Amino acid sequence: MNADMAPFVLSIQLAAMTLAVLLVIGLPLAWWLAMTKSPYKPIIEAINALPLVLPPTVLGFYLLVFLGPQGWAGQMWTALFGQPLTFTFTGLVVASCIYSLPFVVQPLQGAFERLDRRTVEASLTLGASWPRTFLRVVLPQARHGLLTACVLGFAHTIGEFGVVLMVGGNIPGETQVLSIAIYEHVEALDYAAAGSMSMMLVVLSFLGLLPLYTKSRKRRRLLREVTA
Amino acid sequence: MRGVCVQATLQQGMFKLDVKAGFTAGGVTAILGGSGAGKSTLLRLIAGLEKAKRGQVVVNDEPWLDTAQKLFVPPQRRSVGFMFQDYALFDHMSVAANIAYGLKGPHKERERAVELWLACMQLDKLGARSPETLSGGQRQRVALARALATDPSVLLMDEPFSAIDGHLKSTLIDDLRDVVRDQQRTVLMVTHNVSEARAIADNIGVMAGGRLVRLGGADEVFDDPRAYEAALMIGWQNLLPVVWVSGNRLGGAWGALDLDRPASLDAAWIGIRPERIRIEAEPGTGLPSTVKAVREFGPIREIECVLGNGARLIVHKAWDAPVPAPGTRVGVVLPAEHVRPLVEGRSTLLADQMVAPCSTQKEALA
Repeated sequence: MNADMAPFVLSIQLAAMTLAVLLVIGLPLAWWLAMTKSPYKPIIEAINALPLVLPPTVLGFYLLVFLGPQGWAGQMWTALFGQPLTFTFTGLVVASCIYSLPFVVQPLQGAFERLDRRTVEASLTLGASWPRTFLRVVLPQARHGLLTACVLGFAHTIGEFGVVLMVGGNIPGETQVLSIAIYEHVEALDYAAAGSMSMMLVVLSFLGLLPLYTKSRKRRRLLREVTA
Repeated sequence: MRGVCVQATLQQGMFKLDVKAGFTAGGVTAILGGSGAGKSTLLRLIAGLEKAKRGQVVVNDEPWLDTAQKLFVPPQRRSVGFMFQDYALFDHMSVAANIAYGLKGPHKERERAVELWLACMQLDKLGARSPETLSGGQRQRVALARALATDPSVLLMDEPFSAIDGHLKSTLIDDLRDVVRDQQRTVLMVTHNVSEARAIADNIGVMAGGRLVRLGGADEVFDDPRAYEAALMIGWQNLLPVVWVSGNRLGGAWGALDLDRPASLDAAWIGIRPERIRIEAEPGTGLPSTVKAVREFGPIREIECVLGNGARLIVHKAWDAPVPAPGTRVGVVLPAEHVRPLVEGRSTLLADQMVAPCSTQKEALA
């Protein structure tokens, strides 16, 4: 593979894996947050929103400590799978999931909160199971929120730098994603390579965001709420 | 027992629902009540959308809820059709897909069933449309078809006519009555509108303060509401508080009168329909009062009389009957056979005895 393409492919792989994991975690979490009357809801919401405000280096530092060979999560992982989490691709996926969680959960939660709950109850009284109700009634009504969550989760992972650098380091082919490769090229004063890679990132992010801002007012409103 | 049997209590914050009632199979029962009376909560309890703290729900001898035995059948496994106030149609699906949603079996059969329902509800040619593009009446028919297509044991309707304009309403009420009568459905319909209830229901239930205070045949309930709240709900205006009861005689600050039977000690009010009251020109007969106003309402005249203690009585007379002029002192006669003693439904245990008991409840659960 072209040396310049490896970080690009790695970034796409990282974003796709992160998004897949985040949808599995984010859909039930967002549903719970939207429906619950639990007194713990504000606490969970605040924790979920932390990555929005914390500097990536702070988040990266804590992740490095927890996921590293001395941290309890890192030790548990090494005991289970025989290899460390830090400075590996898997470690990057775990860190990215935590870093991008609010970008997936918040649009989904907003969409679920706006849902007409009577339609969910109607589906149940018509004999549909919960999974069927979720697939045929909830998700179609929350499709704008789902698309927003996918695009933001994916694009945000592609664009991250600080957390990736702290947890993954800069190992070509393993943890050297696009943003890190650009930084390295700039440090080596190879502005031409940095420029072409930066352009790749700009085009990729633009193409990802474009569908969000076309046509749908609902999606735009969700987006404004998340990015506000 | 065939039909719906509910004996349950449910607490939601400050609100408490406490209902014991048997609704017979194969007829329309309208549940009347003001807002906050617990009508919708009762329907949601039967459908399994609310959980009772304590109690039982048995439909056609099949237990759906029994807290003593920790039995709770979830809504998706109850044979229930629920028509929501705003219909809760799936706007992201076509009309046909809405009706087909609860249907089971091979694709061909489902398709045929949907066609039959579309024809039955006069929705032919609208199957492919989105429900969002339909009129209020059409949306209501889609909701009804969707709820009935699964052939439920009981159809629950929450204010089905609240979103319909006046002139369309009477046609829709007739249509709905025909559909449920033809198919001999057991229907519970919640409404706050007395004329809707009168037009469609075989039985009337009245709820107040989370309790069912009266349940019976429609004519019977309108003739004798038995509970003060039921009388208020069905629009009785002539209600006088009872302070003392002695044998056949009862009375209050407004005076006293004799009934044709011993009065119940629980009687807290008496009520009488306005067309049953007689006005005598001689103030010595009946309760002395003064005519305050005479109003014309098409074929009837309404005479407002004020008793000695300031209590008001409304009397209806035919438009061509002689009526006294305002200011005249008259005697108002409340004929004993038409006077109805009323209990305070929400505070007395008597109310529970006035609704049909679930006699075979124990056997059904055994």
